[in-house]
Amino acid sequence: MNSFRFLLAVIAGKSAYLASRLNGGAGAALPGLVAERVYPGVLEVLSQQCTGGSIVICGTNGKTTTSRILSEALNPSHPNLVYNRSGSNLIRGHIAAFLEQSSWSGKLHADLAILETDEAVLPHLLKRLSTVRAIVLHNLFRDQLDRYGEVDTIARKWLEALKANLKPETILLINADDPSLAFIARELRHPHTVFYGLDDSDQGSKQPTSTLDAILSPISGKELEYSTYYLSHLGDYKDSSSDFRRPELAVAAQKIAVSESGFSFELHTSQQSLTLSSSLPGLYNLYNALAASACFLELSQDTAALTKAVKNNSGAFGRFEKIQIDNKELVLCLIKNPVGATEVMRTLSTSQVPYGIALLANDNFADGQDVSWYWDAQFELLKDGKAFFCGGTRAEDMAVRLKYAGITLPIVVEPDIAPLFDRIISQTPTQKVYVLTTYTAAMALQKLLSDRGYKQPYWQE
Amino acid sequence: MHLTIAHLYPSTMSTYGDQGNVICLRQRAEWRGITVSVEPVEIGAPLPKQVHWYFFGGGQDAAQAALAADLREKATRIREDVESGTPLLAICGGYQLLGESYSPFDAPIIQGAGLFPIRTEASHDRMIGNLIISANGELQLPKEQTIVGFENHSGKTYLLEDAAASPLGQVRQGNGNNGADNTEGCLYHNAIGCYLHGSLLPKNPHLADWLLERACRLIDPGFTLQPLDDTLEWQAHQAILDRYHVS
Repeated sequence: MNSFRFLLAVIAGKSAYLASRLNGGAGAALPGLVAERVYPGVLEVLSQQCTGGSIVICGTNGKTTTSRILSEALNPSHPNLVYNRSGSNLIRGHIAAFLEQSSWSGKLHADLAILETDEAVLPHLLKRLSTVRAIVLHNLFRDQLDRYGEVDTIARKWLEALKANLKPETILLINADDPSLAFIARELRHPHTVFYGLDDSDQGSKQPTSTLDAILSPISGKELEYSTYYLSHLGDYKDSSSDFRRPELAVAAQKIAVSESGFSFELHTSQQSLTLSSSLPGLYNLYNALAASACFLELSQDTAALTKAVKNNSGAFGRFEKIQIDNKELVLCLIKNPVGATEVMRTLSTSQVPYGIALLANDNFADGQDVSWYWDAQFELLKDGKAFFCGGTRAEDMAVRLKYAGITLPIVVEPDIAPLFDRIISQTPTQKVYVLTTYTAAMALQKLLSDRGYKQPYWQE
Repeated sequence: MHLTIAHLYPSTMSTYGDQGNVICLRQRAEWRGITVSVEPVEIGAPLPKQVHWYFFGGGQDAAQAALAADLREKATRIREDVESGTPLLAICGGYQLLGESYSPFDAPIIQGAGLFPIRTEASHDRMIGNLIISANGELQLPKEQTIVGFENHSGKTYLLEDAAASPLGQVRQGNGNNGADNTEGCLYHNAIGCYLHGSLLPKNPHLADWLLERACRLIDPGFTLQPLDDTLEWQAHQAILDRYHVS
């Protein structure tokens, strides 16, 4: 190691962090970018000092919420966690998170790291971390095909990366309900693998609930048979032409109740059972709590801390985040891909009070430039909305999607988010407005809200 | 009037918002009082007796390999239908599979269904982005002659000499069939194969109606469609033309 370059990298990165914060930014990625430019091995040197190792959380949907619940549960025992809280989940975000917990001389003040990780970045990260405590593989849905490629391609890259880098002491947590992840686990035969999943056929459906991705058996190539579908292709499946089937669950969610106002379930392992509840809406958040719990219980037996973290979690920014503006209640929901968007809409459609709908759709790189996925999500679920607004760089595409979803009310189309926001506030006939946004549109809206004093910047939450 | 849509292999070949084309065609029919049934046709299942429109989307490589043999068994019937005027839309993987052949890098050549006179070769160039073309004059589209969509493919497709086939259009923005010869897609009788998703039909209502009208004419040869209010659809179309300053 070149200690001079390392030191320079830390100082440059931490300075960039300060400069960014002074300018009102989050400092979530730039410090990492700067530090790595000065010394490419900066992540290796910082993460080596983390004696408890890193927990890597990866999947298409639910990374941020899962990481957040896990960090809150671990916080009492590890107050100085390294954690990329803002959701900046590329390598630069990981470096920035380590820098935040290091001194100006590059000494790390933390013994454990939680790293939410982008799907495409996982192979690179695993190569660079020397101590990985646990890896959570949460789900693989179709997402931004223009950026990530197809589901099969990502699964193959993950498998190759794990084959090359998985160490015997690392705990591998796998969502057993996802066939492509179960296949990865089967190929790896890693001794310390923990399968989590849902075990409540009353919750699921016998028929597919929405667009499906990975339903061919990776062994026989034949279509998998599902006894229960829980969420898209997540479910209880088997291949009638081979011995491939959903693995036995080590951590199972039973007696599930979900609604727009929260969820509860019983968590069962061979050692214990716990009842967990939360005000986070929807089945997908239950999956996130289950993943966080399965990981937590491998590290700690402090079930009180876990119960509390699940219960008190208010959700990460843009995940059914409520904001009061005059007499309106805005509920902000990020939508990024067909499965996530459909589950958000399924959840909000159970609302007991009338609501308006605003859709802010951008097609910048981080949103995915291909907007075809609008047609794979079930916008038909919005039919009970009392007013409709479309904004963002793809406002018109979204409006067309709503029209073909059978929305007959007039749709306000205004690409520019600031004037559209004013119209949402002044023209919605209901108190409640669900604002569904793609990633960069969410950032733009958050900035608008904080500029106008309605909320704190998201990274301070 | 009642139309039957055959949606080929929807459980595995419906990757890039392909469903949007089916939703669009169905809605545009129903808004005019024409009823529609969509028949999913999976591997091993027979085609419906009477088909008024075929749709075939894109999928992952493994899925495409799994259905190639089944598609070859259905190819004769599909070809007969198309050559007697049945409209068809195939996108990306579906377009490639309906061609003569596909040459992967390191595996034997896959024989296609042989409907479109095209051959496709694997390449290392990922052709991704918005795609705008000027439509082939043979389509005789009303007014607007542009077709807009989004492409995401690495296969390079080349049209073979065939008097009955021509490109769907000329590339104005993007790559099209192969990024070299300025062509996009293939038009063969009333069958269209192309790399345009996005989804294609919802923001190209002229093309949607072109297909729909030909489907209706299988039942009533003199049929013409009632116009609809397509203001929103054309706004979405225009927004992408404006972005690239294409007129």
